[in-house]
Amino acid sequence: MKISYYNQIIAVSTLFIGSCIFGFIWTKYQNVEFQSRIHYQSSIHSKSFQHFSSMYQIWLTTQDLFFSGKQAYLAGGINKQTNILLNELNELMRGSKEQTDELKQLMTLIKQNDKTISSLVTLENQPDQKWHIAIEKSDSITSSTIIMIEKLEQDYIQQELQFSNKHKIAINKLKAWVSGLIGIYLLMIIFGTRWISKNIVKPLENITHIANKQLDTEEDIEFVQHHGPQEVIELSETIQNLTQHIKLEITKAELQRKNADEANKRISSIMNSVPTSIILVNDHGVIKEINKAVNKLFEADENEILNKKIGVFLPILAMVNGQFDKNSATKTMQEGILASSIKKPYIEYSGCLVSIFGENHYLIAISDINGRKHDQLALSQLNQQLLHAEKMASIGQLAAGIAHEINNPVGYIQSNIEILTEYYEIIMAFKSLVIENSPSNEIKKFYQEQDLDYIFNDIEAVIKSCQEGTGRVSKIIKDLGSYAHQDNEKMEPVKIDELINKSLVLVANELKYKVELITQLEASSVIFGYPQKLQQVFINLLVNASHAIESSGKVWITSKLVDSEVNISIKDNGHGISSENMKKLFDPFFTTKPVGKGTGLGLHIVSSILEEHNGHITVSSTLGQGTEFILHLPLTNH
Amino acid sequence: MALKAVYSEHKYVIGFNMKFIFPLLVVLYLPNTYADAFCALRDPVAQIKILYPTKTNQLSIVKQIDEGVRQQVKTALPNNDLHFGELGKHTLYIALQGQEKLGYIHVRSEQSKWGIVEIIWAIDKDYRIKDFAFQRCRSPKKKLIDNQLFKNMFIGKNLVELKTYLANDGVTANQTLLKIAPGAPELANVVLRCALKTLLLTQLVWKEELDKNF
Repeated sequence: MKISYYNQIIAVSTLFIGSCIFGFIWTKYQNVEFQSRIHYQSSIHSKSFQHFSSMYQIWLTTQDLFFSGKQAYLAGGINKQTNILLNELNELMRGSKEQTDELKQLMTLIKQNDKTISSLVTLENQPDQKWHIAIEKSDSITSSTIIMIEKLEQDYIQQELQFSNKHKIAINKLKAWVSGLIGIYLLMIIFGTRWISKNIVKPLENITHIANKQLDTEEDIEFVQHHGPQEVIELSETIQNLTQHIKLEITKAELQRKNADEANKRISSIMNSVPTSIILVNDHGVIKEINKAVNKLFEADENEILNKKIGVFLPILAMVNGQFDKNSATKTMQEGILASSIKKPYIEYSGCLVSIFGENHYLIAISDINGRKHDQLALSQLNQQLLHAEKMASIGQLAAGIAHEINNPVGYIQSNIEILTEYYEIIMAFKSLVIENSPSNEIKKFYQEQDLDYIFNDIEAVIKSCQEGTGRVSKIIKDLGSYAHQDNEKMEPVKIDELINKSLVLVANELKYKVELITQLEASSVIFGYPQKLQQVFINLLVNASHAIESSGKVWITSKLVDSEVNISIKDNGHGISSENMKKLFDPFFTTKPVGKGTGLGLHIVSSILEEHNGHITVSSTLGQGTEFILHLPLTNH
Repeated sequence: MALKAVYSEHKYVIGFNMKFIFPLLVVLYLPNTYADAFCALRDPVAQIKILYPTKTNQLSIVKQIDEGVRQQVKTALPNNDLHFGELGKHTLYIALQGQEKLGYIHVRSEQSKWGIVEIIWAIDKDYRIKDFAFQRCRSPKKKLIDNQLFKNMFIGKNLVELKTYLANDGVTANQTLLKIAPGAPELANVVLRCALKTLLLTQLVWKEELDKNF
């Protein structure tokens, strides 16, 4: 049966028994109350009669005084006392039905006695025989009365005693019943408790005992209870199942723990074997776990590393105020530099947030990139050399054109100098004539023959032509010089349109014989970059455009500002690029030019330079129609 | 009133030769004489005859019981007092058989629960209780007088012997007497108190004259 049923039965039976007990005790108590009232009334009657008896005794004493002293004046008092006695008897008669006859008889006798006494009041001669007769009569009456009074007194006392006894018996019965019922109730409670203990508590205790025992042994123990409330039986079965389940889980957990141990060992072995330094820091950036590579990386023992802040070794993970920079800790492939005391400072780290037992930790993998940095540096230097070499190559390519460009002004400068020399000789001859004070005619004639007016006018033009020629040469040389010059390591403001113009100067000779150059430079912007490298880009692309045009064609170069970047388009209407070649266009050493004509590095370098400027290059080409390269250079370059 | 033998403690002047003659005359010629000091409601003469069946006559001596006597009683019987009704003139009877003195008769009333109890006491010449009877008693327990064992507790006892029946309170009887009076302890107490007072007063008030003149 279920405990709930037991509870209901116990509750209902307790209520029922309690109600019965209460009702029974209440009945008995009512009986006690009834007996008490009767006893009280009886006691009142008894006391009233005792009072009557006392009054009666006084009445007798008064009569004795009356008789002995023959004091007639007492007769009135005796009569009053008689009336009081009669009144008291009347009162008693109202409450005492059993004694009514005796009380009536008593009243009659008292009245008779009163008459006897009243008869003496008018007696003239007191020593008369009638006095003695009256005394005898009164004594006779009062003696009878006394007998009745004593009997009644006894009756009242007996009655009171009887009711008192009944009252006491009722009280005792009540006490006995109450005690008995309490005893029975206690016995019921004891038996009920024992029954509950045996049938409900004991099975639970068995389960608890077995459960405690279970903690100390690995043996299979039977939890199932076959006796007891249904819930307890079900509970024991559930615990049995649960225990078996727990055992299975424990076995599994043990296996998993072993596997985990092994995995830990493996991981530990792996962790200590990997060249990457792995660090586990807590939420405050304190180093909690490291692998062996960390010791090597930080050049310190484990004790010197653990429980230290990561910022001590890796300043990039510490904020200005020294706190752990969690955001930086979760970045990937971030390069950084270790503390200055560490000899090989270059590292690359990746971090992630991990939760271990509900607490945030950061797992940071640090790679030693000192070698790579060294290689990068070497590669960078190589690149620079390559870039320079390619630039030199392009300069070489441009050299003939540049030489031609220089040669032209030099030619007419030379011619002008020859003219100026002739002019000088004529002027010097004229000077001599003037100095020697030759005749004016002669001087005039010489002046006219030599057309000195023209010479003097032409000298200025010739000189200006020379100046223009030397200026052109100077500019070409200057542009070439600046192009050939290696860039600073730092970026600088570059006026992009001006740089394009400079590039056009250098490639002018390459273009002007077969290409109609159309420029539309509208960018009017300044970007941060390396001017020589960008100039190399423009020159490469312009030369390529020129090469794409076999005999004659057009090259368009435009610049414009689009959003936050400068777009520079270099377009030709040459032979175009096949789709096959488009795929390999920016690959190093890819060229469609004959051997010795191109290095195959031009576009690759163009691409690299643009990447270096955080820009990019797009190309579109239609075979037979032309090619357009668009350079995208951001205005701000971080 | 000439027939009455009027005695006064102070006025009683009689010649030595006449001391037997005068009372004798009184008894002889006035057999139903009432004493002036009436100690009882009823005439004790009939009871005297019962107590002294052989008596032929009696004499009565009236004496004054005053405050001095009362104080003496208080001393002799502590806690026993004479109430004011008992003060005044009282009569002692001398029972005679011819000229021979049979004894004395002393009637005393004692307050009880049911009014005054009058007991007539027969006292011998040695002031011992000879016999006694109720002259007036309203109590239903008055049959106690018929109990000879009870009577025997008094008969032949003088004042000193009777005092041995007193309980420590000096008023009630002890168990020696009470066990003889089952169901009537109060009446027994009244009888004992009355007996003690009677013997004491007889000796205090009348003894001197009785011893001297009779």
